[in-house]
Amino acid sequence: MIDIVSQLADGFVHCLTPLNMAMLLIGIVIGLLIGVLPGLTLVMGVTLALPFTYKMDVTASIVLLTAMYVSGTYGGAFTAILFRIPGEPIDVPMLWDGYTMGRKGRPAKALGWTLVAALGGGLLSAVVMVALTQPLARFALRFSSPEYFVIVMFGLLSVVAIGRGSLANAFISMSVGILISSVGVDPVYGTYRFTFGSPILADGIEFLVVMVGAYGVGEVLTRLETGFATKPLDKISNARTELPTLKELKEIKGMFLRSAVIGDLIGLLPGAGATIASFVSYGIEARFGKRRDQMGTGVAEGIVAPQSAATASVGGAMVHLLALGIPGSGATAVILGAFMLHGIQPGPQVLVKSADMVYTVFASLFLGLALMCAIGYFAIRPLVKILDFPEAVVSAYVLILCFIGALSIRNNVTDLWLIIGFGVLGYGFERLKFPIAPLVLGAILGPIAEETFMNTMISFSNDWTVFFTRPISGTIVALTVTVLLLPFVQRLMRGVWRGL
Amino acid sequence: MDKALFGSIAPYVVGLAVAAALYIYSGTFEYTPRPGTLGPEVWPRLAILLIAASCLFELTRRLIVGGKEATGFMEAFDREPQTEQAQPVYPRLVIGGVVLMAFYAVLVPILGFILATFLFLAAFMYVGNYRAHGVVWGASAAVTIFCGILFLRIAYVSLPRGIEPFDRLTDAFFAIPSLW
Amino acid sequence: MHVVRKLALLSVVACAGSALAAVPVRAAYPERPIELIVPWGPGGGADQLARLVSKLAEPLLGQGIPVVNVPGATGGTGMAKLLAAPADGYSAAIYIADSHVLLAGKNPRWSMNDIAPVAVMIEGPSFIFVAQNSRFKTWQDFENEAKANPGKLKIATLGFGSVDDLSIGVIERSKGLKFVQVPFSKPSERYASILGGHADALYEQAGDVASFLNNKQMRPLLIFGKQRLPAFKDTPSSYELSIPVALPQFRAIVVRAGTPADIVERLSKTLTDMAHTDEYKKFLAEQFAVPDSFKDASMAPAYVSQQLEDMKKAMAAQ
Repeated sequence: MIDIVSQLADGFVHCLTPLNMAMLLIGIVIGLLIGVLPGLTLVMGVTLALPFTYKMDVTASIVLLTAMYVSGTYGGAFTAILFRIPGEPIDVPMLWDGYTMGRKGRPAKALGWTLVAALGGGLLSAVVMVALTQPLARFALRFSSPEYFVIVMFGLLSVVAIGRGSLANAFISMSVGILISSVGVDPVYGTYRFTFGSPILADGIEFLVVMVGAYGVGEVLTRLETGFATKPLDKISNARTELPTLKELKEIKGMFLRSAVIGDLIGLLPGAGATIASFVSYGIEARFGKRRDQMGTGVAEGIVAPQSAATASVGGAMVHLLALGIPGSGATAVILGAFMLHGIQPGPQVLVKSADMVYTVFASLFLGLALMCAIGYFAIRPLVKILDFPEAVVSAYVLILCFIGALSIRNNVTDLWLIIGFGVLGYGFERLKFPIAPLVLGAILGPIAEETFMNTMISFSNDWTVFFTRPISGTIVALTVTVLLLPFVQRLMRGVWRGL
Repeated sequence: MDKALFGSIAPYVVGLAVAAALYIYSGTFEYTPRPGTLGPEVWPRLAILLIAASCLFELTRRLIVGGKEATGFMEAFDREPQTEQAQPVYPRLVIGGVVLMAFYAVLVPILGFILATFLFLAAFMYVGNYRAHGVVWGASAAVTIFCGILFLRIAYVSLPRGIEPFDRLTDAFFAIPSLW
Repeated sequence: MHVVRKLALLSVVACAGSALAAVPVRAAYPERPIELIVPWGPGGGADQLARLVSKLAEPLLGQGIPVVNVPGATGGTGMAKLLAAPADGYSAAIYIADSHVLLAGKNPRWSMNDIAPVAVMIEGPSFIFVAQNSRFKTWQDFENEAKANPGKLKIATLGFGSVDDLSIGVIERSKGLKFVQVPFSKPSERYASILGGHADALYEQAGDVASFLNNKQMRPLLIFGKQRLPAFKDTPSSYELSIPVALPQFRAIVVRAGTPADIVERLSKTLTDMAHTDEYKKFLAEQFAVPDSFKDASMAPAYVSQQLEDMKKAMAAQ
């Protein structure tokens, strides 16, 4: 332990070189911007930044990319809260309480809460990462396809259960999302599905197109419908950043810790770590939280739970990368690429062989979080000002950003057509009162769900009971049932026709 | 059957029909089967069945209790007061917006990203009932040039160049020194 | 604000003018950046190669080589992008065995006639790996266990119909064995599956798991090839054990067929120069690649065609 502390102290010293500090600052600013821009995801952001690291030394490159990764999990909250457009998949739960709080005239307070949540979640996960890298990594390896599958189902079902409106509509929305994600080449056989003979569909549909289309383009269309007559929020231009008071923080410290731990643990698992973490954390809060009956009406818990879990998941994903050499998320896959380009192979040895570098990166995480919050604090005011711009101008910009996102996923004009199509679909969903979140999450998690499901079936000769009999997977199933299905069944008992 | 009820069940009837069609279509996937392994149609079919079941459920419910709006199982979510007053809506504008976006998608490969984006930005602002001409063209030009520099010279995104002679405009950006 | 409109108008006029003038003289290639398409996601083996080429070849070429990831459809999406671009040498793609095998299957979306291989950059033999702490010490242990319990041992692969699948099929038939293939489309999950003991073995190239080999997390049981490799001299080769298959992973750079010969020549020359740099040789060594992996435009097409023949042979035997 003392060893770790002294190495971390060395790390801070290394981190304070002008180059590393500059990279840290640049990484945080760019990460925030990427989070803010709908259509540019974190993974895309770090990929675009990769060429700059060719000529840098390895520590500076990793500091840059990690800083982008951390602050990218935070920046998306801005657009979610101010415009109802999630910048990243992890920001979808932010639409429920964050946007609602903003809508009730307190956007600056909502942003203040996300700031505190990101800081708290990030710090906790950084501490856990430094102290427990090895044991956590070993724990993560015990997860196999059945465990992943049930976790993904937990995430999917929680969004169905949480949503407002008809449950049947939510299930339809989720299934449509899953179906969309199954278009194109299947992961096991490599056969084409649902292509209807069109080469456009043969390439499959990226979740980003669904998310940015249904939320971004759809939201613009919904506002266009009113002729941009209404201002989205009132009295916002003189809003000041409002940090939560100590008293408010004390009230939620328990759930804060819980959400961060959830985020850290889920971040450990390869796949859609941060996204699932954010949804699961919200779902658990909506079931067990002190103010669970007020979730969705703009309460702080609904902001803190997803944000702290999402930022905390970064630590988990980095543990996986550094200790095992296996990237736990899209962004860490790119960071792994940066390591390789500089001739460093992550894995158990890296903690010993390149301890200097690793602890510098750890230290940069701590400094980065502090810096991120300082920038976030001062950025809130000018960002909220954007809402004063004419809506037609802001909406035109939002659309172009969505289009650039579509063009940059696979550098393909086809995705432009798809994003417009999903924009219309999102608008239609809004009008017919179908929830959009299950659609988007279905499209994001569908491929992981399918692959882990098929792998389980192949590995265990089509024995579906393994989901219940394996210890970790069984525990998660039990948790899912208590958290999500029990209230549903209770209500079903109370009155099928009225209740649902 | 009254009109309101018909309107409220129509989406579910359509949903059911689409589900049935997709279920049948999913039987036509071409693949080499492997003994003892589920085929590639199994997973999508699970989703299709869930759609069908949900549609059927909602249909029956609505036919029995009428087209009353359903409420979620977490009552908390229904408490939000409906503060928003009904606003006049202009479906015309939405159609205009969608047509404009479709034009953009057609024009991008021809005119290239730069020119098409510039025109789209300006046109969309006009569609959105914004008439300050100076701001419209100035803001469009500024954002277009900013995006061009950002995505062609700072970070590289493979944006469409357009065909001759419009690609020259994109190429002009390559004269700017790059960061990479 | 009217400047841009005027600028656009001006450029239209200017271009129309130049188009009217006699056939424009082509400036020295390359006059703008060359896009290198990676039909796979960032972070993988194909991506790493592309980024190394981008880094090393840029000074030799005098133009940027931005890497563009176009993942999807086992490389099909990226190939579609390459084939949709003009055959002018400003788009190139990384082309690997995992995509090439699609040509041996049903209804491929492109054929050998659509692509012009510029160079084969790297060739690495494939292996069967197990986790360091696996109960199987040698290939013989593994084979005996498979014989005793057919259909029980799990091998993590890329998916059905892949190169991995073909090679394992040949083992099964030549030895009368039966394995369970567990497909993982993401390499990271493939590796985690054997490290966590959820699969018994892994089909992979040594370069892609170099960090696990150096960190003593994995070890090879079998190498697919005619001979053993110096770096793994205790690992038997497939031909030694009379398993007649050797499908290596190769990664080449291709352009669209119909690209002018002088442009292909210029690219090939640049890549040849690059292949002779110490940094590239070091990369090949780290990747446990065949030392003379590199083949320029004069040899690459024949090599790529030969690979397809080998794949078809392995498939026909099924």
